[in-house]
Amino acid sequence: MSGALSRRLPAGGDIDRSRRLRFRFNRVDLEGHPGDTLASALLANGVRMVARSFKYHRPRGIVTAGAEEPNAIVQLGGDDDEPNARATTLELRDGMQARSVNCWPGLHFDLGALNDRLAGLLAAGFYYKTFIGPPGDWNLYGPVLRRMAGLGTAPRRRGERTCEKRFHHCDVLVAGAGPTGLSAALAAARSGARVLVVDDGPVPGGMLRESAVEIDGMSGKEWAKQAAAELDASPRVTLLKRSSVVGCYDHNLFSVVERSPPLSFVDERLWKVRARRAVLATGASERPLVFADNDRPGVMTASAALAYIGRYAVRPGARAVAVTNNSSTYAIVRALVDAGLEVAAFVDARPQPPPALAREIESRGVEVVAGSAVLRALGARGVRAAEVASLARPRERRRIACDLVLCSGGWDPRVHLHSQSGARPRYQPRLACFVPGESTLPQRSAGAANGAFALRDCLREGWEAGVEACRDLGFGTPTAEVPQCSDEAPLEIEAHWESPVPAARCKAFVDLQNDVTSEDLRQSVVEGFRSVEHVKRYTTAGMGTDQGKLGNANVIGVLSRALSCEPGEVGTTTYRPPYVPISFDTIAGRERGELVLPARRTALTDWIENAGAVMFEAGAGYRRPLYFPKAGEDMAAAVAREALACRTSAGIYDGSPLGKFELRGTGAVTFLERIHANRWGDLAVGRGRFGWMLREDGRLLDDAVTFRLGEERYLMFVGTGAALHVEAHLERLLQLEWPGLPVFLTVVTSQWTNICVCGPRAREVLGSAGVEDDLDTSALPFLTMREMRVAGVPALVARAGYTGELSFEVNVRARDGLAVWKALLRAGEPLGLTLVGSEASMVMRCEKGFVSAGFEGDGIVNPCDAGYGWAVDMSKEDFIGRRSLARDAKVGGIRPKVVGLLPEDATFVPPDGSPLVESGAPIDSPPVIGYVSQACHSPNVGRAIALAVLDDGRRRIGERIEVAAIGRRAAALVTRPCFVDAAGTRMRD
Amino acid sequence: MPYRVTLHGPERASLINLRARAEARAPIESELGFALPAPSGPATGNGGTLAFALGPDEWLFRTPLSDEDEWLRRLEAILAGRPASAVLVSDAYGVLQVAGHDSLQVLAQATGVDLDPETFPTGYATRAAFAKVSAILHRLDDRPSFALYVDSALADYASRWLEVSSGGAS
Repeated sequence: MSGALSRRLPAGGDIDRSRRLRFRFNRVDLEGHPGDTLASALLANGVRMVARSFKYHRPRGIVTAGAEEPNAIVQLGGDDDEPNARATTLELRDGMQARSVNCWPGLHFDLGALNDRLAGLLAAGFYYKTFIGPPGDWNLYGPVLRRMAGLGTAPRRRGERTCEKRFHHCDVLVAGAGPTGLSAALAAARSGARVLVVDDGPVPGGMLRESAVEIDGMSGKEWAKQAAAELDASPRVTLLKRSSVVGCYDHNLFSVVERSPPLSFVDERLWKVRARRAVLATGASERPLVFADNDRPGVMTASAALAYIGRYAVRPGARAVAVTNNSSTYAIVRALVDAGLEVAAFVDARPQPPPALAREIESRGVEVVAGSAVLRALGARGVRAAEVASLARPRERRRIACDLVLCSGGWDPRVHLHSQSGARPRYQPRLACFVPGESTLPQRSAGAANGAFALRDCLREGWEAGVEACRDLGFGTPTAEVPQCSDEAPLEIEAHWESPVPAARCKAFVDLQNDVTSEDLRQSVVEGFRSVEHVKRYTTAGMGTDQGKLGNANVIGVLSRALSCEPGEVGTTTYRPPYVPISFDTIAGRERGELVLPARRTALTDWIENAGAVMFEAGAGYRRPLYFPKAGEDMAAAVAREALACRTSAGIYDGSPLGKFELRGTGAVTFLERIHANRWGDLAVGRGRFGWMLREDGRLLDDAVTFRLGEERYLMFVGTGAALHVEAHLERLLQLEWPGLPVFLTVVTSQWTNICVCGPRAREVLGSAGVEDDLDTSALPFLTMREMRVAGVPALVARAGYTGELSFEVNVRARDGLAVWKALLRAGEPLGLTLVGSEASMVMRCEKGFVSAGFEGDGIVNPCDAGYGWAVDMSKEDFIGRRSLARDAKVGGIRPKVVGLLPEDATFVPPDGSPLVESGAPIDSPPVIGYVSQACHSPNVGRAIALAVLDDGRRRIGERIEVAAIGRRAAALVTRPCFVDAAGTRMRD
Repeated sequence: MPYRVTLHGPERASLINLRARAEARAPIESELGFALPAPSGPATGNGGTLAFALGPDEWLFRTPLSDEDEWLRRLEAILAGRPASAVLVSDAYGVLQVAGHDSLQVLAQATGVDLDPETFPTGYATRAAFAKVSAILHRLDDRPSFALYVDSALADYASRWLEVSSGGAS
């Protein structure tokens, strides 16, 4: 590398020469100016080699000046700590630290460069071929290959950037603010529409930033500046700079990434834009040419060289050879020569270049070489010369000294967004490129993105697209006219996909980022691949972080020659969002940590957390206490203490997460009859009933306990985890199946705090808490609900619970929940009232054998299998699931039944889900006859117990089977599914 | 610099969930003294009361806090025997407020509803997905200020979401 700023031109460019920015690249301190990209600053400092390639570790330089860049991918260090940054779009900042990737120990001496010599082993699909044997050795190769693969290193720190998302609505979205986009945006803005304009550069204008054209009597650059100023000043227009439209989805939903939003504390913003109409003015990217060693640092697209000179006043080399197959390069080379770049030769693959254009070049002292091409770039770490030959006589090669090869293989409209919308681009032979096909969404491609490369066409198409979008939406037509510019000849091009390769060892790259050569493509065809999608996956062409933006067209072109067909017949691969890579913290936005998932909290959650409960995320997103450890207690001890207390003195828990629905209307009884398997018509006011709700297939949906509060008023309690889908199930029935049934369902889950006091001393606890009503079974029998005052506030108190003990569920308005909870705790303290977590509740349900749809409801078990035949009334005319239950009965056969298990080893708690097998069944793959649905250590039984689903289980009570747990086979006795108070007297009396 | 907004809540409001078939609307509206609103449009009200449409036959009726039991009795009385229901849900909602210059920028992070004053002027209300929960959004004035009604079990989450998204916390 040479001295500081040695390649900077003395004047010009959009940079602020009054300020200097210091940055570090590969441990070398360098300087640039505000307005530079990292790439332009590196070029200004004479840095040509910026990276090693992915597979062969070949030296690589900067190829483009935009988002297409395949090579100049750097790792940012220091405060940035970011991999895969594109030097060509990365704005230079003071103190920036960057280093090259894919090289060790350093960029200039890289051990991985050995791969270039081992190319024979690393051909297309090597991953599937070279390292396939001997069997087992992949364990040796795999880690090595994986370490060598990939780009950059993931940030070590948790994302510290502030990223956010924003929804946005607009009438017209304009993607791109080059001449086409600005023209479209002006037309739409002047029509009065709400417009969002998105441009990826810090300064709008696209190619106008560096080209010497005139629009409406002023320089293109000035026109762009004025247009942007008008848009910025319009209150109905939002102009986003440094932003990319990265995705297009159904219904014209677009995602836009905005980097460093102005006047904001936000580092990056992900916009989700709903556009009524969209104008895709994304321009076109210049295609490189494929020739031997076309990856040497110093080979770049012609337009990139002009961009570096025009935007950044940086001469990317000292002496250039330009090579093209189309007319657009003439104006570029003319401008480059005028800007002081020495061009040694201008090579045109076409035998007869346009004479007028050729004369213009020749008049500047540049030799025009027609019907020829660059066959090879010479120089390992940077171009030293180009070998040029006539395409008619490729052996007669001529060597021209240069340090820059500027190439143009034509222009590829950026059809990515159009293609993401579901449309297929079509090949246009006249332009030798793919242009947008039929749009499936209310959007239109315009200008270079539509294959209209001439500036006049860009301005006209953009304007028309803006006007048309607004007219469709009912806005007026703008009074002004299409911006005018001088006439320009249309693009003339002859497809030239690849120059003859002069030596077998040379590599001609089609995908620079993934190191895919034209030979790899031909190899894949030899191996039988035909579809471009298959070739892509086999060779990895287009699968890098650049998604083949630069190379895809050449892949298709070379492939079409190998397959002897037209590029249009090969077709494009599928373009997927995002257009440019997005970091994960941008996708996450604000939704990190506690905001990832909405946690539901009851009126008591704060208190419970403060009481030291170990919390867990229970059904429906509720944060619930798992257990309440006392000092020195582990989980098992705490759970045992809580479960024991409920059966010997009293326990208290927060049941508020239970789903609660209020049913009103004259049709409520009919509704209950239809959704449950049992009868409801005879339920008296004040009484409650348990019932199973079944699915249409007769399987368990959820159980509910419903109380009749008035003639036409019911309060239903359902399981926490099932509450959301039971609500959806019931609302679907009411709205779609039985819209005429006069029933209204109102969700009151959060309206009521539900506190359950259970255990033999529960009645005393309520009495001490100021309940004056008679709580005796004679006055308040099991499954009744009464309005009464608890701790001085109105409450609905029910005899119900999930523990099998004497239980009172106290329902109060959530506003009173905490006060009542505290009052009950105070009242219960002398009585041994114990805080109970969810784990102890589950132990008690297991002890009682209360079937849960979440455990035993496996999609096969029906209520009769679960032991709830008493809650199924087949004499009812109909209910959901009845037909399927009737079918089960008719088909007969062996049904799975819910049973209890007592492991012979009383200390062995089998893991939930453990399979059950016959005693003495073969060790290897024994027939499975059931599974453990839940097991625990029961402090009340004093041993391990389990609930299980076992084939023909009820008939097998008293027999021994085996639990085939992981790593252990254990014998267990089959029992009835109830281990405590089988008669149920504690709960009822 | 954080967004210029002030956040309030969650607070409890006095709310009654109203369900009514078409034939039951007239007596309700006569009792309320105003027409029940249509889905996605302005909320309607009278004096201290306000009604939001939750669906074609469902509304959320807000009354002054002191009057909730009185209103519930009145509504239950006139709805008796009609295809309609009134259920007190004051405790089932938490009400949050976002006010100030940058309210739209904060809310636009959470909801896909177009809150531009042209499409969602003062007085408008709608049910919407907000952050990852469901909410009723109501534009109160042109400061602009918005009220958000969310499930009280999720109000702390929504409140924290607003706090973080307005730049007041991270």
